[in-house]
Amino acid sequence: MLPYKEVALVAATSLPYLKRSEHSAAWFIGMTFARMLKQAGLQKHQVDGLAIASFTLAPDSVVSMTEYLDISPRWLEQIPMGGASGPVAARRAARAVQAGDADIVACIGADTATADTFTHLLQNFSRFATDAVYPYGAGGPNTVFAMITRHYMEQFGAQREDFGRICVAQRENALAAGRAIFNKPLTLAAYLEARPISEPLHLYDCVMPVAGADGFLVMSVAQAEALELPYARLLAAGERHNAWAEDPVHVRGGWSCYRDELYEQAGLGPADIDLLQTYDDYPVIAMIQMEDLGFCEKGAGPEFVRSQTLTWNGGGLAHNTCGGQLSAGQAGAAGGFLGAVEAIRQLTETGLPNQVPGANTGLVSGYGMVNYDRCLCTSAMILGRGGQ
Amino acid sequence: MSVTVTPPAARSPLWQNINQAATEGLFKLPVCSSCRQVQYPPQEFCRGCLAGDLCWEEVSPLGAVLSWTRLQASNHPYFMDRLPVFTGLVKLDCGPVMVVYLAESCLQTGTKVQVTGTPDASGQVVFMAAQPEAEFNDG
Repeated sequence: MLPYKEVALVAATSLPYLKRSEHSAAWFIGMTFARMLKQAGLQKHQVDGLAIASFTLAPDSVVSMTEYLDISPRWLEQIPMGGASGPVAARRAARAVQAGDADIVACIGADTATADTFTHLLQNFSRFATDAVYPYGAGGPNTVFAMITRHYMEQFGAQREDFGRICVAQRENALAAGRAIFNKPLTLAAYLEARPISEPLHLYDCVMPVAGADGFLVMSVAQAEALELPYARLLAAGERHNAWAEDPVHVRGGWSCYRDELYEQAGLGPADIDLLQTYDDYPVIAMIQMEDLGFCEKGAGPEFVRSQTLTWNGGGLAHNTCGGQLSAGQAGAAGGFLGAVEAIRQLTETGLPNQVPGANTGLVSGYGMVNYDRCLCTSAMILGRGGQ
Repeated sequence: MSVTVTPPAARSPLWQNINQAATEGLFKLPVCSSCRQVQYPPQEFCRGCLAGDLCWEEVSPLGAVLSWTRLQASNHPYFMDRLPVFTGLVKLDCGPVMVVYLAESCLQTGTKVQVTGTPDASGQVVFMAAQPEAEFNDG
């Protein structure tokens, strides 16, 4: 496989998440694009590629966005992969840049949250969901992930406290980062005492649907250096969809199919990763990613999280250093970009309030699209600190 | 005039076959004419051998509980007054995994169950898993 290493990720950009917004998804994309250009010191016509992920942009698409933004790109991509869309966007854009099909690609995940967008989304998420999941109590993904969580607990002996450790550490990270909607400390006791949502899931196991946007620019390392922009180098990337379909209940994801190749591309191993940004729609899924990405064996997730602080400044593996979606909320497809922008920030910016000491490498993992009884899409990328 | 709230009624066109079978008291799912793979949720072609013709056939409604949840928060007004709702994942002996309503007597992984389709208040069939009827006990 062609290496990715001459590709740079720059200008990590976020719009603050909001519990509700009357703005359209197009507005969130537009505002993110404007911020990103300002941050990179670019004019909009210098961006010749655009990749968008959004659940609420319909009936518009990335095509409509070219007219709204009044740009004329020579490369367009829309990524219908929800929580997996960030690393996938980076991967697709990287290949476009390497092939010379685009020089500077803006990758943005954005969604709005009006009063009824979430309900509408749940009811119409997929044909399988409409026929065979939503009618059973309309719990949304909580129903499916509650059953995945119970199965994991019974299979591997995980306790609620183990999931609680992930959530509590992430809240600590969120408080340090200072950007999350949930900005009050969370104790393990409060986690355990929270009201049940879909047992064994309780309130703090679930993400709150919000409005927001995250994005970054992809260009060649040479371009980033010519523009004198700090960048993260893309060291490796992979994706896999509908993996392990034969497992009656979801216990492993597509990451395990390509993780060896991923580390080989990067010339690194799990022990060399300074920060891990998993997709945390539910803590059990973060735990499964730790296993499938080789930080511990399958089933050893509970023991692994007991052995780590998981905080930005605790030493060891720093996990979801901005607080993740469990603290920031889930801004639709932007949730698939949250880990990517945080990793890019950690590897390009200085003076972050939650700066992981000495961080030079980051692994970002994505997971998305509950078609029926599990998410089908997985993605991952490894980033390294670049120059400038 | 008050509006009666009914459960979600939207289904794909294929679901009419499930509704029809239930009126006959039968448990029918799409089965591949070529490789015999049973499909659920219903789809229009075989996910195994990709044959385009599936037949709605009576299949065994027996299976075992893989996992379950006690749902205490819903996104739909019909359910908000009816919580908790017990939902399960059932592995059917004939192959597919179904999301079902689960009888409270079956809230344990590994419990043998029988799945039955019955119309809910929207008129669309939903599946309920409970202890097998006598005729299936020795099956």
